[in-house]
Amino acid sequence: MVAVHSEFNGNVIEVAGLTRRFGAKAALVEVRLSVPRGTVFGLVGVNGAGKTTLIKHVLGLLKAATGSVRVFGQDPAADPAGVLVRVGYLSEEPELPGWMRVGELLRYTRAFYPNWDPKFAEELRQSFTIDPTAKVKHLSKGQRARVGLVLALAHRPELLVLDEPSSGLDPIVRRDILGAIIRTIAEEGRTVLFSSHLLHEVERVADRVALIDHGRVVFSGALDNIKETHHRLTLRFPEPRPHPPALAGALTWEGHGMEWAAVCAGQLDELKNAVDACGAQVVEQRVPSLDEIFVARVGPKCSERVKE
Amino acid sequence: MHSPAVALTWEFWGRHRLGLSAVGALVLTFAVGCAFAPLTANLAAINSMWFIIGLCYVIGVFAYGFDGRLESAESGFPARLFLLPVRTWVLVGWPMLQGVIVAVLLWLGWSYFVLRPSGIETPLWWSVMLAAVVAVSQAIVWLPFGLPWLRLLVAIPVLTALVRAPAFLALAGERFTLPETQNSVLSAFAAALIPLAFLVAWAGVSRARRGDNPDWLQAWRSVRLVARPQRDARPFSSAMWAQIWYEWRVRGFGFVVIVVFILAVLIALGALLERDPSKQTNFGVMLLLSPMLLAPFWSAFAGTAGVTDRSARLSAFAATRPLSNSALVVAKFRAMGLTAIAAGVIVLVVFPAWMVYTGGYRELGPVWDGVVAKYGTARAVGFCILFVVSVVVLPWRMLVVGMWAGLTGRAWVPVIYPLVVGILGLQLVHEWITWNADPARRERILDVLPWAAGCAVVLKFLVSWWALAALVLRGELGTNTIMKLLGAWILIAASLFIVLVWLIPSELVPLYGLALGVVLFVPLARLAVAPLALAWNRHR
Repeated sequence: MVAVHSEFNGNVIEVAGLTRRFGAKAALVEVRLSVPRGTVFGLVGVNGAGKTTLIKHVLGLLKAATGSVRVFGQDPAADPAGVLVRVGYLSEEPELPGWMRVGELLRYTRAFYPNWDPKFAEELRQSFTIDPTAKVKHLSKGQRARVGLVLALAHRPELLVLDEPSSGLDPIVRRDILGAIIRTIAEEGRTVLFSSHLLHEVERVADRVALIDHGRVVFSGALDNIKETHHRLTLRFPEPRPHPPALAGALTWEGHGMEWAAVCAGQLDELKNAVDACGAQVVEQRVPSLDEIFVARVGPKCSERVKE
Repeated sequence: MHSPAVALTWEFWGRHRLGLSAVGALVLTFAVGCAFAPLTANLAAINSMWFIIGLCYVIGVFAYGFDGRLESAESGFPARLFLLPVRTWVLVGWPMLQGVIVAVLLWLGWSYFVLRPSGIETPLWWSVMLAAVVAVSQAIVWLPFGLPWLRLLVAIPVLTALVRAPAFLALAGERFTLPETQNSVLSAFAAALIPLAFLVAWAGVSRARRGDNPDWLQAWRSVRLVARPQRDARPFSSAMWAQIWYEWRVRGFGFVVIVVFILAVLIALGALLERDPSKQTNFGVMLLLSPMLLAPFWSAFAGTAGVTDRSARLSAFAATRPLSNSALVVAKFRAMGLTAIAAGVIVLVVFPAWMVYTGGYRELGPVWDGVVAKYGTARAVGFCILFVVSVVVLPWRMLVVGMWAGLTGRAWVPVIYPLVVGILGLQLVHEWITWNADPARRERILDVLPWAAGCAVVLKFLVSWWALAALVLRGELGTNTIMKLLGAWILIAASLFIVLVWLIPSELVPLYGLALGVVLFVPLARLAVAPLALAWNRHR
């Protein structure tokens, strides 16, 4: 394991009261977020929810007009050099200079990072089978993502920021990216912030999760806690029902006739009491997946699926 | 929209409606103005520069010249259009037809409503040749070439030859110098070029559409990889040197390449077309001035901060370099220094070689003797040294002072800024040409000039103070660094002032005039503003 020696021991990222508008559209509204050091923090939300806008604030690419953003205790827009030298960043579209060869790109990038590990960079390059003489513009999307990953990891950053890194990539490249996240976790003291639509991947590696919807943080916390407070209950009613009942804590319903399933938020005991009050019986209860929680929180409020 | 032709037309006129409307408005404004108060021939000729700029823009629009990278080997025709269920000859012919019609109509409007009332008559062949220039430009942009930069190597001499067609025609014999003969021959030649350009463009786009782009480097590349094992280049010694290398590759190298192209074209034109030795010597002056004339146009583009030479918007890759805004800007300035040195060295080699080739060096002897007799040997040597230094320093100055416009990352700034500078420049040219025509006006200008220069100096210092204070407040630069920069500026300005006082007699230019000129010449305000412009782009 490679320990990170850092004088900074607080939250790596602190976002407080951040609001951002683009014209009339509010991209972020009163966002509060804390990313503790040494965690893997997953940012989930639908397209246009505000994830990339938030990440851009973290990197200093957008300046906080209302509220504040601190990375390692510093404003990334005020001190980009001081913050970015400790950050590795990989986005969905790495936007690497197409005219450069891979070898040139590694040589150019290494000059900016005092902690660049050339052996580690070479090890990654070889494991990803990237030709150093190839021009970036001639690489496939997956190979460009791998090159971006090498650039992000080779200087052993204290904070790894990944913005939809595996979107549109084949399973092998996604495995490489996940492996990189896991490797980073294994190195004591490093922090990962990543946004993804692939919730099963977020579920695999994230310690903490925040869900953003229409620019607001719907919930944020430890993944285990989130799962403990959400339940998928399958209910059977004595009579067929055309509509699901009004159940406190129910986020979304599906079903028809006598059997209805709901994803609910709240304490299990209270939910069961509410179910009893409706005259139904709980026939199945399980912890929902992050995917189900996500859909329940941001999807349609009530979806009735007709079973064939 | 129910037809591909209408859709393709809408794409030009919808996307570029503001620019095309501006060009139309330019012609209309001048036409209306000249209807009430025709310009003098000189003024009409000078203001035709605006029309030419607008025309270049129109050609760029209808050649899809703003969509691709002209220096790349691939066809400049937008690949996204290849997916449309439209035949290639329609894809090629429709923009070509529109471009030719629009350019010729604009020209006819300018010629009839602006030039003719000013007493300037233009021959018919100009209209036909303009149509040919549009079609040939489009063909050159859309043709795939086997090598990068080859397109520019072909475009500059071909288009120059078309514009200077009468001079080439005159080589065929004296009867081809007669206006009537020129008119008929060149009109026929240009008319024949148009369908030829269409065929060439059609063949090129067809080839590009099926992915059959030539690659003349492919064979050499595979031989190179087999013959020589890849060696690891030495790492950069610092982030600053890495960034300077990057800026040189993206924005500096191209400037030097274009200077070399321009020199090659000028030398070819001078050697082929000018038989008069004294005029050939004048070409030597043009050779020297090439970098200085190109630098102002390159400047805003050199200030762009994206990953390619085309993009003004900062990509995430560029924006997340762990360098401060000041350091990124300093890297650009230093890269432009290397660029100016490279271009200057080339020019300083080519110029003496040209003077020897043309025998123009013989004319320098009497000039030298005259300067020595009037000012002394020491001052003559001083002039020479200043001249040589200025061949490098002047292009550098012009490259860096306009960078702030590109650094802002806002598309409208690099448009407005050169427009304002261009208007002032054209006015200066007009004053230069008419300097001795009206002595009373000349005296009025000379009386006002020191006050105008004084106001400009005050404005410069105010902007500089504001920018430097903002840089300190933002933590971009420390007060010690600011003091060192100001000290260096004062040292350079003072040294230049002392040299100029020594070289230039006070009866020619008063001391206060020299002082004002030096203060305005040595850049400060626009350099100080540059990091703030980048910050405005980088942290939106």
